[in-house]
Amino acid sequence: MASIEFKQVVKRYGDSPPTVPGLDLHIRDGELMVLVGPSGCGKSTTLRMIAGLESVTSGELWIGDRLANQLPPKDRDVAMVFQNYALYPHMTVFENLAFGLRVRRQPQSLIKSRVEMAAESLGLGDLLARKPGQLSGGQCQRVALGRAMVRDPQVFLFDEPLSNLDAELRVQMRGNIGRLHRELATTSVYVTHDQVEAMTLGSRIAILNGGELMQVGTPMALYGDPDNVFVAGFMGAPPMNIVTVQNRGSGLKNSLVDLQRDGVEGLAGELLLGLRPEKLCHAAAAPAHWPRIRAAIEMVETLGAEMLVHLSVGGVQGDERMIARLPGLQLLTPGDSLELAFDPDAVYLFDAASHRRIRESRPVAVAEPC
Amino acid sequence: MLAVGWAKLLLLLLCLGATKSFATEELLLWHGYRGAERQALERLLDDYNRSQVDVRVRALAVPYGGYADKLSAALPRGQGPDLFIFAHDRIGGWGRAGPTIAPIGEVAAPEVLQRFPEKLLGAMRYRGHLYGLPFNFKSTALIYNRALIAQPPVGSDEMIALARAHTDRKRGRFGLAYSYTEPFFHGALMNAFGPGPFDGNNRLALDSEANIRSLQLLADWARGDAVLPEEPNSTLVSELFNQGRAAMVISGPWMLGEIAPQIDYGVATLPLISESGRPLAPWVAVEGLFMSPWSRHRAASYRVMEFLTRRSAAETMAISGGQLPANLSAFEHPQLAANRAAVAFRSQLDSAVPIPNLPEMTLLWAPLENVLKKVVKGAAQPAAELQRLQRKLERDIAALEASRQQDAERGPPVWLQGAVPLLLLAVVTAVILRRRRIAESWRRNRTAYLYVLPAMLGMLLLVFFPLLYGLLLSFTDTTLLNENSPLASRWLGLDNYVGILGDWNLWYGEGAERSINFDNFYWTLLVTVCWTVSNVIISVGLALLLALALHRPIFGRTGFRLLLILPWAIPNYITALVWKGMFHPQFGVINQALQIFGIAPVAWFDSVGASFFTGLVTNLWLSIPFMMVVILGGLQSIPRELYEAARVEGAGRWFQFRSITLPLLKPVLVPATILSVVWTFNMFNVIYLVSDGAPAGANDILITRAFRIGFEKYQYAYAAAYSMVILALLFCYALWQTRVSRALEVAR
Repeated sequence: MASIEFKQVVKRYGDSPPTVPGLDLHIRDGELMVLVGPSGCGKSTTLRMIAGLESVTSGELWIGDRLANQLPPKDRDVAMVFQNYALYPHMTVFENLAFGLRVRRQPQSLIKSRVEMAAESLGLGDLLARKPGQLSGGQCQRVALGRAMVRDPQVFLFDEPLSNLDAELRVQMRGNIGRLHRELATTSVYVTHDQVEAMTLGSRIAILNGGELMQVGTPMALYGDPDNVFVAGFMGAPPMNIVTVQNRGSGLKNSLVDLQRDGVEGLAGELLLGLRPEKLCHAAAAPAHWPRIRAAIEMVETLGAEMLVHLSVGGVQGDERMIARLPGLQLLTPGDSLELAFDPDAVYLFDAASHRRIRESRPVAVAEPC
Repeated sequence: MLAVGWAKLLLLLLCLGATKSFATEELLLWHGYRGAERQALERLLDDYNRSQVDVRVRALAVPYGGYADKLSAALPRGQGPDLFIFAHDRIGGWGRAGPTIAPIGEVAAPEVLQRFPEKLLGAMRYRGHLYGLPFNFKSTALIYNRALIAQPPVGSDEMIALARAHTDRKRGRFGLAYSYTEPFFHGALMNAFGPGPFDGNNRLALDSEANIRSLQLLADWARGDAVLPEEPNSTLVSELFNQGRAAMVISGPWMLGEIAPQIDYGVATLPLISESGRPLAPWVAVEGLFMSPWSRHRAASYRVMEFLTRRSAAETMAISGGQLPANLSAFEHPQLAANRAAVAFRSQLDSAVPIPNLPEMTLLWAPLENVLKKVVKGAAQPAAELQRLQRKLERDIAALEASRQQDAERGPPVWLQGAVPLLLLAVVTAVILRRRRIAESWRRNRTAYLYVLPAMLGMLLLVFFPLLYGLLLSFTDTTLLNENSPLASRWLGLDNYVGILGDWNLWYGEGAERSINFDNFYWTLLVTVCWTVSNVIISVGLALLLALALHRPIFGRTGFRLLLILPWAIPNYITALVWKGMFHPQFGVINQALQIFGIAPVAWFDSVGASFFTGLVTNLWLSIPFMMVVILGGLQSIPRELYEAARVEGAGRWFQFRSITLPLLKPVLVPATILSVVWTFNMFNVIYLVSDGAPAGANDILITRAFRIGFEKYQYAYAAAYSMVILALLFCYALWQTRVSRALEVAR
């Protein structure tokens, strides 16, 4: 097992702007680091640099105690699971699993025992004689996992491994991967664009945007204490409500919100206010000092136990919008007016220009229910 | 009164109509002329039509390439023209084959025959019958560059001395150039020493002392005096002459139009053979006017023949059409008398000899050319080689004769006579028994059947009928001489197949002279298998290498791809001819390149191996682009992640190639290889055009051999059986291949 360290790593294709402009990231020994971000954010490139499938333009990439910039893939002792499984279609499951060991000229008896062990732990025991064409998507994915496992590498790399599976299988496979990581405790890097996957799997999550590292931390740290608007908006579904507010010195106001606030005197005239959807609740049930919001219901997404209510001020074409996560089983009609309230301590403030978080002296109420 | 008037008018109109329809009776004349010759002929016919009221001649120019076959196919079946113009050398074949040309001895008036010299009239006679009127003649003569040769030579020694003085092989200059390995040109030497290939009784006498001496003299000129260019052909000869690099050439009037304007040339009769004092006697081809035996207007046709051979017509054909007219009185015309070339060719006629019009003559051309090629290269002794050819041709002629003699005695065996009605009965019964299912299927799939119908008809007509006809033909002894007799009378059974497969004469000659019999089926099969296997393995291998190289993102990849696909865009016979030119031992770019590097030039077509190599290279050049495109397509369909996965797993390039590329290319490689095997097995063009089976047919593959048997030996049935054997071999291969592919399919 090994730690991985990026020191000012740059990746550039030709003369175009760098895909990864200068990454500093430390992945600890034995942890499962999830790289998450929207498409084109450089997360796959970063992963492929670890695998050795992409070269490092400048900077240093360390795997364990070895500088890996020039190390060919075969000498890195990493294993990779690909989005499209990359199973060899002409080989049986057994041969696919044994491929890496055969390349390394391991004795036949060892290959057999290792393959059978991996197959057993992934429930592939009955499928060893089949070819990939005869397997379902989930089975293929398990074979791909098994192929990475059998070699007992220092590092596992996962490149969006679940994106081709249906929702149910995805949950199941997520569980499998999490269990495997707990059992093997191998350093793993997992690339995904799905924040739910990131939150449920990662020991830590690194959020990338436009090649730049936005924030690294545990899932809860990122959720509760985002460094910037991007992270705040990326983590959580539905995302945090961000609205523009005018700073009146004594409070923050816009067409939707009117919040009395101390300690904002020295801040800019225009700020971004963030509020998680679950922090909005019916005005009737809220303490009297909580600020009220009166808005029109634009749309209601009923999820059963709860519902997502899309609100706007000034009709459908309103200036400000918000989403509220309210308890389910209520009769709300689009077009109707609704009065909600929110905990003033659950509010995040961001600089409107830099989108950076403005950390106030008071703690943000993350855990308190509405 | 009015009624009577109307009746008179009607009668008048009817009379006019009758006259008109009488006048529109027309004669059809076929010819193979183009350009000036065609214009001259058509003008004459216009004049003739204007002078006639009861008949009209319509001329049809038939493309020369298929003219002879068209005549042979149409005339015996009562179709085709009333009269036609063609060379005289087919008269014997047609005369023997049945109703193809009509004898005209009874209708030809003596005063008309007096227009022609006896030599030209003789060319029109076969077995005592006169079959046509001579129209024009063509023979070779000596054409010389007046800037180099002041006075044309009188004797052969003088000619060779002059030639030697003008030969500088290093600079590619030759004193004398002509297509001396073509029997038509060598005829001049053969006829100078003796009666030519046939003796006075029209029996084949190739191994006569005279013919042996003629070959020895040619070998002396080519190898001893070394005044002749190697591997000549008509294009090379005219090119050398036009570049001033050949002082003298032997050629015919057809070359005059190709001579460059800056060359001041003269034409003279061929010289005398110095040792005997007899003149070189070139063969003369006489074009005649012939009549179809089926023509319903034979008297009218004869009148047209008579008209076209009159002096005035001959003058027109000579002056406007550039012909040498058979009516020699035309040469008295001042314009012709002043034409030195025409006069020289006219004088050459005095010593020229008409090509024998015996059907056996058609068997002679190709094998005699092989002998000439071998002898001039010193690969064979004239006497031994001619004796061998004599024996071989005697056998071929006997086979032709046998086919004709057995006509009357033969018939299909009784079982076959019974089998055909039985088969028909079985088909009818089967249809009746299954009529419900057939009707049901028709009702349900009517649209589908209608869609398939045109293709089915096409297949029936273009594939199954010829196949069935070929199969039937292979059980007969059909040859040039009996092709028009009823099929039943030609029935032979399995003899052709026994002849092919039971031919174990793998060697000929004894002791030191013992050599492989290249005509043997098993030798040809061996060559075909070697040819196919080596071509397929090398082309697939090289194409794979190229495709792998071009699959990577190298600089100029698109350009390279385009370049490598280009050979495919050029018709393969053109490519084949270009390669043949490049392999020319003296003027070919390959030998010239070898010489630059100090390597001795190779006589590419002299040895079995080198000649095989020429075909191999050409075919590889032709087949690699296709293979490469197919393999490139296959490579592109292999997902990149597989290689990435393998790289991460630690596989090197070779391991990746072996365990990913090759197995995943199999679905593409297998069908491409199957196709390649079939195409190469039957790759007629390359073998026929590049090495032409040289030396002496050693490099013929089955398909070119079948062609030679059919169209050089005229043993059509034997060739059909040969083709059936080829078909059976490919069928077996296809069966085996299908099993292998199916096994692969299951394995996937």
